[in-house]
Amino acid sequence: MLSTNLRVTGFDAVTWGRFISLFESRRRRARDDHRNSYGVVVVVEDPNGGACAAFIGDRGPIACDQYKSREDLAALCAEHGVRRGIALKLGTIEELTERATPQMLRTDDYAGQWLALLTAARELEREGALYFWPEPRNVVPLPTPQLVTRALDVVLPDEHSFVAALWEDAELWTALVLRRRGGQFDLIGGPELVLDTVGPLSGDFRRDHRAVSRAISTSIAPLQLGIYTQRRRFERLLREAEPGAWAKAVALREIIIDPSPAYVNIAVGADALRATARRTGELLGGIDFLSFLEPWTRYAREQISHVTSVSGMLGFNPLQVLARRLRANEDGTGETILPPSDPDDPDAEASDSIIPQPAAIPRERTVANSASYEDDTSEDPLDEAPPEQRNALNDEPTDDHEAAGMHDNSLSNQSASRR
Amino acid sequence: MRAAAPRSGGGQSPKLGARALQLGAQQVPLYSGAVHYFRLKPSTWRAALEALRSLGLNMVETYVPWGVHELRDGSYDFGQYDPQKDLGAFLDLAHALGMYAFVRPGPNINAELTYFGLPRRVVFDEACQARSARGQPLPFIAPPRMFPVPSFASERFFQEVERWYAETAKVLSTRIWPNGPVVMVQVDNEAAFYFRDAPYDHDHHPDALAKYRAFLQVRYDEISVLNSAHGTEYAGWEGALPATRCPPDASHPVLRRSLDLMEFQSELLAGALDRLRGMLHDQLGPLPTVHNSPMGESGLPTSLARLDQVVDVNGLDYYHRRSDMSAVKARTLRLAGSTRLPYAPEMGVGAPPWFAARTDADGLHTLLCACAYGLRGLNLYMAVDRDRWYGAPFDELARERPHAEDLRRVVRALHRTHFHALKRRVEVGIMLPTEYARLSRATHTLGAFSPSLLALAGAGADAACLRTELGFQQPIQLAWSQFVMQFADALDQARVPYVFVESDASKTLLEDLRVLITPTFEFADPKRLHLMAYFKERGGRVLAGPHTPSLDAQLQPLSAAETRALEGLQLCAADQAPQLVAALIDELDLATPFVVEPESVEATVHEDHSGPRVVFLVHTHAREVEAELRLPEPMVLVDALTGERYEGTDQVAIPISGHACRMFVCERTSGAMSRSRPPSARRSPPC
Repeated sequence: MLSTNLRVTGFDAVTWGRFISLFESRRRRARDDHRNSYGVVVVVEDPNGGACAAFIGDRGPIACDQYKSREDLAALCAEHGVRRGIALKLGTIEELTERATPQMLRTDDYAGQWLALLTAARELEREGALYFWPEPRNVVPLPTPQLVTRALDVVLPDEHSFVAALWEDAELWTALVLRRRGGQFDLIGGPELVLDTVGPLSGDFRRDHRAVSRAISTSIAPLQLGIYTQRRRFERLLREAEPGAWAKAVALREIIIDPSPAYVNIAVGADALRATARRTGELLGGIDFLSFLEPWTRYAREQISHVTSVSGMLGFNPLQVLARRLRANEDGTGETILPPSDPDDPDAEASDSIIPQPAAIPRERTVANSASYEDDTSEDPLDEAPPEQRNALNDEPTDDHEAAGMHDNSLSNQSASRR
Repeated sequence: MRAAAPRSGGGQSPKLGARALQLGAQQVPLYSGAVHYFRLKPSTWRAALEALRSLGLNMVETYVPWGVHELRDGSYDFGQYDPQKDLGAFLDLAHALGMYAFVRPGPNINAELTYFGLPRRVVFDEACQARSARGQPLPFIAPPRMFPVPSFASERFFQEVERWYAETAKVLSTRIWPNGPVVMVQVDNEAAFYFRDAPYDHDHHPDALAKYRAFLQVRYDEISVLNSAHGTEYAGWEGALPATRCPPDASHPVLRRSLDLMEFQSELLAGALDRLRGMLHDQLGPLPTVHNSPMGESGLPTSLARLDQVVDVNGLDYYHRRSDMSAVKARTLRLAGSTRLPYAPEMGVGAPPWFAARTDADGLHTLLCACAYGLRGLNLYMAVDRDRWYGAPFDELARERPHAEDLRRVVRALHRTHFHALKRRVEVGIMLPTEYARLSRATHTLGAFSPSLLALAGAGADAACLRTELGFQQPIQLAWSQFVMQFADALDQARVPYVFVESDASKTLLEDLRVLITPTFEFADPKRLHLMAYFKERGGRVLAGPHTPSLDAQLQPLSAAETRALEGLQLCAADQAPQLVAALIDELDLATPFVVEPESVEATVHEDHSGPRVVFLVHTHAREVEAELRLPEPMVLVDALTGERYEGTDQVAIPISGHACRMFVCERTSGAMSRSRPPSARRSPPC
């Protein structure tokens, strides 16, 4: 994934900090005391299951005499006001490194090396050597390095570049330039690189984007995807739950996507469809006015099935995971995974509006819905997995027909529930 | 292979004085800035060096990357093919501009280079690789490629390094001052087993095992004695293996085996650095040598003081955020108390993109805070930006960024006040027992997630130590640092300056101290006990406790002579710290700096023979406050950055932002001072 000759350039401390801040929850940014419930309790268990060492990640050692088994981990976390805990048997980390090393050194790909380490960690978790509290639900599956490469090939083919440039009013607030060469990223550039490449900007991203696109295509590599917008709009879109947010932003030219590869166009179009479907459903009292379009959308999707999907390849939707993480932290729940909707609770609200309302989901589909990212209507412009490529997270066999219906949008779900 | 002898310089060579380089008759403080010639276009070199000079720095620091200069066929390019690698031209240019050069030829340089700047063929040479207990290489996770770390014991690796040093010497040796700009050289870089420094990670390389067995043979002489000491049953020395863990129920023989391993690791590192230093000495002559210990120093395999015995200056690298000023304080006090010249070979300005993000203010306040607590030399890393870095005061084209001016003003103030030569009046030392630090390492339970990483994360190097007593009255591996921190807190509350003194530090570092506070439990290193006795004999006061040791560092009974060193030892408990400190202040009239309120602000004073020259205010809380500073006499405090002036006869009010450090140059308004003791030594009654 990363070239050994990777070049990272064009940021100063201000613009780098801004770039990082896009992916930090606002809640985390606001706090100035790191000693709070964002810590993690770590317990090392002796052969009898009791604790022989325990600490909180950013505080230091803690008493753990009351810890006799993993059932006590939650109480230990509560006692210290932290929301997460890890228990591991003595010797687990040694085992982890010994197990992962051959695979880590066998591959010459950084992503592959990390995946080797994470795979070994997952193995140890399955074997009971490692335990997380609260237990993760809807665990993001680990893709293989090949899948990661294929996913990257979709987003940014070899010998192409990507740029995201964000303005704050008339100032280029920060930017990110990526180039892929020889199958690996060999350039990560910041706004100084953009300005050095393109020269002075007017300050209006709706005009400047052409010059930036042209300059980067000429000087760095042909541009595959360019995203240009105001900073605040981008931050909102990253966290946005409403279907249609991206489509609306594109339509109103609040965000310029130039060039816009096919998969983006399709995703934006699908996003618009979903938004329209939901809106019409709301306006018309649940009557699915556009349900007659379903066969047509399915036909269109089959015609473009060669456009592969990042999510389908990876088995999860990375933008969705990011959005949920940001929203969850800002909500203060600390949860990275949203709880499943309770089908029996008529008052239950989906904590994420992109999950169809419980009442709209046929009961027999609810558990599957809640367990699978792929079942959610997604605002992700990159998420257009043809059914045959979707990866059911709970290892249920995929029913292509049903999956296609569930995935396309909420049309069929809503129409089914309201019949 | 020895390089050509340098041209005659009249017999002069750079030397290191107490606080500065001595170049002939001239004293040159250790202030420099980093420029990586190999990452900039040669057409930019002049502008980069001139940018450095514009900051007020007359010394450039650069790594010399082995993996960049060595070509695939094993030959070297120092500019013959690629002008960007022309180290000689770069140094000549620095010389022509009247600058000095501090060079760092590794072998390890990190510098965010792939494989830490080592050639790929060396890294993947199995004979060079460190080994785990199962014989596997030890990968380190640095981007853009994890790589197996070299062994500090590998003879093959040393042979490779010797060849590399000989090649660099062809360029460097003819450019050593006064014939060129080179005045200082660093030995290796952040020697901590390439951050695979967890207690039981290293090293099962055959050469390391041989050294380990030799170490044991010296200590135990006979295999039967070893077996008795370690609780093992080796038939011969060749069967002796390092421990792989300390179990929670370890008996003392088992514990001893782990403690021996910790000591061996320290000596392995120190010995390796000494060998590298010797190689550089053979090639370059008696240049002053430097080393830089990395962050997380409280959990490292070897102490700052131990490495200070190997090189002329062993310093610390700083990459903190302004919210970490307590950590900056603690480590600088450790540096000031344990090494001869407190120096920062890397005072981070900016950071690599894979570190926690740092702002310009983070770099500035870290620098000021470190100076506040006694740093006397620093290298701005980086002064000119480069690949895989952000945040230097000048970008890659040497264009100035806004925060350069702040650094310029600080450097100007350091020069103007001769800051490198000032002293901070400190009379109390808290001694950190190396044998207890080794016990904490030996009882670490998190494998490769090392104590130094935990220290870096804010959990403390002992966070993952076993909580069991291991046959003592309490878990010493946890209790000793509690003792230290309780006394440190009490001294902070009482506004009494102190330093941390590692127990293997040179005796000379105790000379200005009047009080030594140190934890003692059931076992203690006799060398430390003798040091304590020596200190008492010289009229110093020793506070130790809570227990009288009866065992030595190998957990064997103390000899009669060693026990005598304990006579008259005043034992105390950590929870008595506030009362004991108050009693010491009253009894000994301990020096305290300018009194300042509120509690969250601390004042440090740096003096010369004429009295206070520089005052720092350090504020460790988040909210801005107005500090009320008592003055010993009428004076004006001039902020080194802003130029603001605060004048008072006995008090001034100074606003200070959250997590900030302010530096003030003292200007007296009442003429030269004459008094029997500097005013900062007098304790003012509390207001």
